[in-house]
Amino acid sequence: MKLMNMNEEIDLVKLEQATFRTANQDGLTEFWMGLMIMAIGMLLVSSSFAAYIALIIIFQVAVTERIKEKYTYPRIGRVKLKEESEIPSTPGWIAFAIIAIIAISAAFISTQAGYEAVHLIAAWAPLLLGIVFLQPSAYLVERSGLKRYYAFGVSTLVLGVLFFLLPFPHPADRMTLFMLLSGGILTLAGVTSMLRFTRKYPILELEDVGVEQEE
Amino acid sequence: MWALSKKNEPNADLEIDRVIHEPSRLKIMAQLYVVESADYTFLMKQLGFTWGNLSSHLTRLEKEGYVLVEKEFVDKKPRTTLCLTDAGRKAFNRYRAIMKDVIEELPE
Repeated sequence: MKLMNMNEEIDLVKLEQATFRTANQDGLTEFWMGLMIMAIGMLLVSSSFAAYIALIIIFQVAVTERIKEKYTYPRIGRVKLKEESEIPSTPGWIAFAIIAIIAISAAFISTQAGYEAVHLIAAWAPLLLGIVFLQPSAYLVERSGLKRYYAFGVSTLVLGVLFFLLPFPHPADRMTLFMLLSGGILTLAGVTSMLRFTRKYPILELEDVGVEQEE
Repeated sequence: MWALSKKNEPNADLEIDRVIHEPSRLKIMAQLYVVESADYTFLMKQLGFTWGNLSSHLTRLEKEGYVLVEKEFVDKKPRTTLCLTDAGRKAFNRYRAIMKDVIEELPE
């Protein structure tokens, strides 16, 4: 989708990607996703973490908006990106189907089968999740235009292979550690992005840009 | 054939919209086209314009009915939100189509 006016070329797709990058460079999306993945991993250790997951779900939007009001909007301004299509893409459907099949099968087999079957499910789960996490990576690459977003998908896939191959005394330990590491990588990426962002962009005062304040 | 349009001329629909054709305004229209809305600060940073430059071009676009400027106070702070109107989106799409034809008509 290119546009020319004799003087320069404007690529609307690249413009939309640049806008997405600018709007999401504060790292908050990665931070919350990482936190959620870690909390789900801890759910396998203690069911009390369900309360933390509920808190994250309930308060995430409000807390994010508060943080953006204080740190993001004063630095880069405010933008509302175009609404996503409500119909997921084909890769999205495939990822959803894989997760659903894994979850339902695991729940059914764990109630019916013996220890060996549960152990087998727990062994394969990190690898399958690593494959599934490639989809959000691909989505971010498409929206941002930055191939480095493949790094999360590839690193979780590598972790998934590693956790599939390594021996663990208890099946749940495998998944918990995998989720903690995957979530930890994302959370750290989010915090790093936020620190870089606040150092890169000073807060704009209206006086600095020549806008006279009304008394 | 194409020409820069003046209002109320015959066949104005086939002519290049000179309001959008101005390079700075074209950048503003393109940026607003790919988002739902944005504020002054965001446009300034993304487009690299000064406040005065941006303001004057937005005034022109608002006068033409292509951009909607909504001003409000939130927690006693002024907030100005900008978005393309339906007329603005149609005009921009028309401009894109005409420019595509113009470029394709150019000799090799």
